[in-house]
Amino acid sequence: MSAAPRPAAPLLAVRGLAVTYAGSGGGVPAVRGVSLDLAPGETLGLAGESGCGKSTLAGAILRLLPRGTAVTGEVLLDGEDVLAMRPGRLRAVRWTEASIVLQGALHSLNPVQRIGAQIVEAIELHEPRLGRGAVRARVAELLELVGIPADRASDYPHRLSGGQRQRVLIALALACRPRLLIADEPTTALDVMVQAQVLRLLARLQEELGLAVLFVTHDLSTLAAVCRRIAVMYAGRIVEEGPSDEVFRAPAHPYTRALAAAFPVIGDPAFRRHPSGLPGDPPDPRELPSGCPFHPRCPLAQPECPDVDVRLRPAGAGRAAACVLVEPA
Amino acid sequence: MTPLLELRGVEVGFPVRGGRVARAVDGVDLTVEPGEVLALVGESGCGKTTLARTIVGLERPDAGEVRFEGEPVARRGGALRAFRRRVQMVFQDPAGALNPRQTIYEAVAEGLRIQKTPGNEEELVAQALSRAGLRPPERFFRLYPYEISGGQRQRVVIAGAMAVGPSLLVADEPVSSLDASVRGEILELMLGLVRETGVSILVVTHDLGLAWNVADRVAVMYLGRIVEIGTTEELLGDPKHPYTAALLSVVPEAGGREPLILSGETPDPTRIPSGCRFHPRCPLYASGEAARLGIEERCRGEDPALAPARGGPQLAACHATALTEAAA
Amino acid sequence: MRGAVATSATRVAWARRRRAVAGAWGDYRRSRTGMVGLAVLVLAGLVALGAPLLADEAELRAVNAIDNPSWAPPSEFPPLGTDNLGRSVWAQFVWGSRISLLVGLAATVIAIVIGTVVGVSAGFVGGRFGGLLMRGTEWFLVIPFLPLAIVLAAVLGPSIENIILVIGITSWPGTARLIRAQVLTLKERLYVDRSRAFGASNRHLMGRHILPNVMPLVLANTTLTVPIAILSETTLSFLGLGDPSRASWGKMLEEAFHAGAITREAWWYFLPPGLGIMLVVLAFTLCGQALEAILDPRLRERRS
Repeated sequence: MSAAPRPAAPLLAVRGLAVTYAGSGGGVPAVRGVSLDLAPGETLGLAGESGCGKSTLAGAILRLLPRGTAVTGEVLLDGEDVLAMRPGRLRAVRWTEASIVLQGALHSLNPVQRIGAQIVEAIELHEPRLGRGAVRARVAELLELVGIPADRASDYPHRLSGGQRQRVLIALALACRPRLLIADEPTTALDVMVQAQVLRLLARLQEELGLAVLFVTHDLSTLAAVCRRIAVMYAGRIVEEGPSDEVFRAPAHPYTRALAAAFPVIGDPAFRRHPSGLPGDPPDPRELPSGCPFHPRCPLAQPECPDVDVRLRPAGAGRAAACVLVEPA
Repeated sequence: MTPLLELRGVEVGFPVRGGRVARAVDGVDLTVEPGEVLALVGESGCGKTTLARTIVGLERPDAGEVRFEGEPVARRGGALRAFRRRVQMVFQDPAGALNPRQTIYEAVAEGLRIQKTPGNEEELVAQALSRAGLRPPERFFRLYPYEISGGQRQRVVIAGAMAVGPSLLVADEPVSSLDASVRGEILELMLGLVRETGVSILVVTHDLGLAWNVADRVAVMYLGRIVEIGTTEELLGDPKHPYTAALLSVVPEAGGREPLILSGETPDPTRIPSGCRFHPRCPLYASGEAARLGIEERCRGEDPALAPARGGPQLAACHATALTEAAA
Repeated sequence: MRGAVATSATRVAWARRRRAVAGAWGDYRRSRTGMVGLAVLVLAGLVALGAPLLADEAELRAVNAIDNPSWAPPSEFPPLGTDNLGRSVWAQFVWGSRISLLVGLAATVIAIVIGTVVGVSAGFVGGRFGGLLMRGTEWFLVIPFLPLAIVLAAVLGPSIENIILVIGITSWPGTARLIRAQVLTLKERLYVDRSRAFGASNRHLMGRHILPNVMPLVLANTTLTVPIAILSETTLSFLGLGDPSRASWGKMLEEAFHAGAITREAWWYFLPPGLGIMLVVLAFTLCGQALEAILDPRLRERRS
């Protein structure tokens, strides 16, 4: 059951991952068979709209989903299957191998604990033998790394602005020197300018620390700017994957095309007084349309689309798309 | 021609703890012409939402004047109700803007009932829903807000607002809570309403791309004040105010610009900096460009007014871009 | 023409309301615990209303029970035996249910009405007036219930009306605070702003948006207050502050206790009122929970 040998062994390899939430009227399939690879030091963007399963996928990688959720497939972190790990090993892997910056995490700092103490706690939990002085030095180093003066360590979270809190959370995620950072909508609640600051910070960290980053967001234009590769999800599956520039500028899947068009290029007359979107809404995972789940909203739907459950197929060098109209190049 | 809406020196403040006042809107002059789409752009905390709420009469200005069709806006009585028929609002969060206990029918009929609009209520509701793209309207009558999608909810809010026949629609971040693929349809609906009914729209947003998508003119707001205003093409094509330029440079969609990332965050509106309110974060000031131009003193001490900017038809509130050297 | 339109609008509104009620009942029937609670309450109601048919009121008086054996177990004096004076326990239980339920419901009505009026006005009007109301509420809240009730009952004299009054005016502050908090959050909702932007008056906002959204809370609070009021009545009666001329479940417990029913193991004397109180209190709670789940559309959404 070994994957084909690759030039650089992937740090993260997801194979046929399916996640079904327990629901009162039967299971809710949130992720329906996703495979992806992330090499050490690489950035992969995962784009999609609400309910497409992107956050579920991010959570499944570190087994952070609610009890009773059925997860099948494999999540190989450095060749070791996360889904098969014992609880002790899993705890060790979270944070030291891979850590996550969560959506809406601005409220996930403990309001009555100094930020320095919260970072200390994370370090001591995973490296209990580290001396007091070494831990303190590490906290200072981490804060400086994310652009916060080390003397702010004695501040409480409410003393920090939204952007600074997000930086603290990134420092917290990096506390145990992970090699993989999963960032789930890390900038969504932030202002444009602060968003730009945090994105620049992430890019710098990725380069300096050789981090692999899985960047999950609904904002395709941001991904195109910060990631080398992009995967676009719709209805629990990846519908297009490839180098970010190509996916954003010349999408192969009609859904990606529509999504890219929803982020107008300022100055481009094609978008002037011409907002573009899709009819209808993203599908409810409980009631997925037959065949290609995108067909009811697809501007290019073919007669066979309601019947063909189309899978990813090659669409040029390093690219793949799940659409019957894609001709393998 | 009389502008549809005219604001002169409008100020709105909120008392905060410690006896200070947050000056959310701090002297705004603005006009909206009939049938135009004006985008009010800024970051959170710049006062754009407060300004929008002041225009529709949900907040009261502490100073300055709001004129609608040349008349000062009434504060009470029948005249106020008549004004409310003419100015309606669309909210950022359509789920919160609809009472969870009211059906879609009731939500749309509410404005008609309050305004005692003549005509068959059921027909008017059906008309409003189908004009907002919810067809067939009868299918939505008995549904509750949680039974429809986010995009449909926003259509219901728009239908309710348009049902009373306004000539100005104030839309506060109308699509920011919606999925990206759904936004375009809502914006298209709004542009269609402008074409068909001649309504003016003041759209409040943080998204410059949205302004490029729909607006005729753009006003950029920073710390309670409009710092630059002009047609969309002028302003987004060649921004004059350093704040606008920075804002535009960090938008991924702007394409190819060297990102000019300002340090820090927007200051607290209880402590508006002296002189030009932008000078502590201004790249021109920090780089010494302002000193070279010999205006450093004025940046620190003199509040710049909106004035024609050098090399462009738009107005900008910046000493460095002011066309003529104003007397100190 | 306008008249015709208005009638048609009213007709539509009424049809919608009827449908809503029918729909709510359909939903309620699906809640098993709610139905169990309702069945118990209906039974208790029937017993209380049908008391004259179930037992002769004359049996409550000791003078009429002179010929009966005292401490007779149910097997000797069906259906529930007799007490130390030879009175029928069944008759006391049946007639006592009337007083217990009456006091519980009436005191709750007083508490809920005061609490809702104070809470809604303090929340909606706000400002200095609201602050003043809340200071008054807190004043009532910090007075310990039992001493106040004992003093009031002693001063006013032991009668049902006074017991109702005492329980009613000591149970409202919690409701008032809860309702005020809810009104304060409702007032900030966007749909209230939307309605205001349509030109809605305060009366409209109150009738259309505030009250309908506090009602589930009021209802839930009612179902919590009734059992507390019933228990309060029991407490006061047990302490000898009840109406001495009328049997209630609390008074039965008091008399059973003082007559030594427990040492005599005369279970038929203290068990019926004890179980009666427990079942009615439980039933109100079950009904309240079921109603709350139905009347709040957001809860309904989560369930489906």
